[in-house]
Amino acid sequence: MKIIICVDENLGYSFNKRRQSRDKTMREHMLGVLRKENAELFVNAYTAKSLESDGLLTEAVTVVDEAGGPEDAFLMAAEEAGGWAFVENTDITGYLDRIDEMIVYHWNRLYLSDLSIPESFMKSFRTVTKELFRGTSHDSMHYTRMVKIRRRSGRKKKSGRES
Amino acid sequence: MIRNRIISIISAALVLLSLVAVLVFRTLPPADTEPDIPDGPEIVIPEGPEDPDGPDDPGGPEDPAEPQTVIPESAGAAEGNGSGPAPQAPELTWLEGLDIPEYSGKAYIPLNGNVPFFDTDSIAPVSYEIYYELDSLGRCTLADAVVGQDIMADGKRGSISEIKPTGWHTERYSFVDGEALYNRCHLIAHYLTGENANPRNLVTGTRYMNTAGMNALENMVGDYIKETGNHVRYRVTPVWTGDNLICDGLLVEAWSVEDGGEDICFCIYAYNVQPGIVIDYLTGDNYAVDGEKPKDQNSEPSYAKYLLEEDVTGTYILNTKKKKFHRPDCQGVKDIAPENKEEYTGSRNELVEEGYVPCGGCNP
Repeated sequence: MKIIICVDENLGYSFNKRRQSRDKTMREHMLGVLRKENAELFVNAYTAKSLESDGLLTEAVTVVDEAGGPEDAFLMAAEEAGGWAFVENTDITGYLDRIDEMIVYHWNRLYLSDLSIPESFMKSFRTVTKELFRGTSHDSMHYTRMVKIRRRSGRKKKSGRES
Repeated sequence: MIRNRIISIISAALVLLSLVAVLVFRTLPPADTEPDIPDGPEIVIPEGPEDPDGPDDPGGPEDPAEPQTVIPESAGAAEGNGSGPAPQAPELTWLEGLDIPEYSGKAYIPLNGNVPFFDTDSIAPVSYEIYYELDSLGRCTLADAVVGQDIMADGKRGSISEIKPTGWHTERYSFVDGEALYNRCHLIAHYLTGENANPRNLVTGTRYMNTAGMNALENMVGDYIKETGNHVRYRVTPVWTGDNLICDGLLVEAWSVEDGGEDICFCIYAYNVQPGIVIDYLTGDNYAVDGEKPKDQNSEPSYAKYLLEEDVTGTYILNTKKKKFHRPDCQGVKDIAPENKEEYTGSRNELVEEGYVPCGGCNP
């Protein structure tokens, strides 16, 4: 499963069911990355509304309106289609074990947060690409592409009590 | 001869009269201009507002930010250095019966379901800022604003060290970030409204509350306004117990106006505590839990090596994140992110006492 997420200095990403911050240049960057790969982006209605206000709700974006359904419907849809889910205000705790690729945008600021990514989870990924860029209202943002570290299954340890 | 002289005198008088008439005409306001504002506190309601949605937006009942409200009568009557008259704070009804849990390791907690106590249905997207009068003990009472880009700080700030909020002490501990236990803590941050040394906007706050609590929410509100150009209603109420001179904490309510709270909506209580320190809130006296004595006031602080024997006043560029200051022409200035850059004019030693370290390159 692949997610895109924006985090602050404490790895927080949401507060009071809202995004911590937004930046139009960052969103254009994200859509540019996905366009190059011809990849599909899945968002919920909350994110779609702000993409629309920025004039960025393109055909490459699939909006999964969770009204009346589970709030993680767009996550499930992204997983099923092999696309990317842009997470802004949804608790992803239950999905952590299934994520194997991430694009992380760092705000490089401290914000309020009540949802955050565990540091131990971040350590289970390795960085593939990193880029510093200037946002619209955030002067220095980091784009980091990460993939899950695969532990090679080695030979089983010999037990000291071989029969 | 006499006739010529009379003609000259009359001509000169006519020229003089014309000059006077021109001067009078340029001084008097046209009949349809606003009346002069009487002397007194500076009015801070900016001109405008311009239509935030553009001239073609028909608005409508579904528009959550349709301006119906009225700006508080006292708006604009209380900015400046606090020397002029300020409105009395209204009855702080939203604090009545407020159930604030004991501090339990988190710098801030949401209250009231994270929804502001003020009426969110009728806020006009027009900037203003009000700093209410101090109470009889000289304590801050309330700061209220609708913050827009037009009143945000322009990056310049001045010294605030002449303000001594109630309970002010200068103890320093080795384990406190920057050593000083107390900061002069803005109710409404300088970043948001550009307020400097206004005693109605400064309380004695712990370093912890200032950094872990208030900075996080101020960044959130300020960056949202910078990005969207929208307005945020922002109200900060210090919570006092009895006659204490140190407040228990700050109640901060915020609501983004044009999008009806879609992006910014919170009601946060930031605790005025410092882990590892016990504070007597009545006086501001304090001591470390582990028995560490505060650094001797007469002992040299760690920053003493940066102090000048004879202080100077100058203009410096601050990196507020790295706590470093530079000469304005320093090469390093261009690398400072704008959100961390401030221009400061004032005492150099005061900067050092605030924890700022001079740049090793330009040696300001």
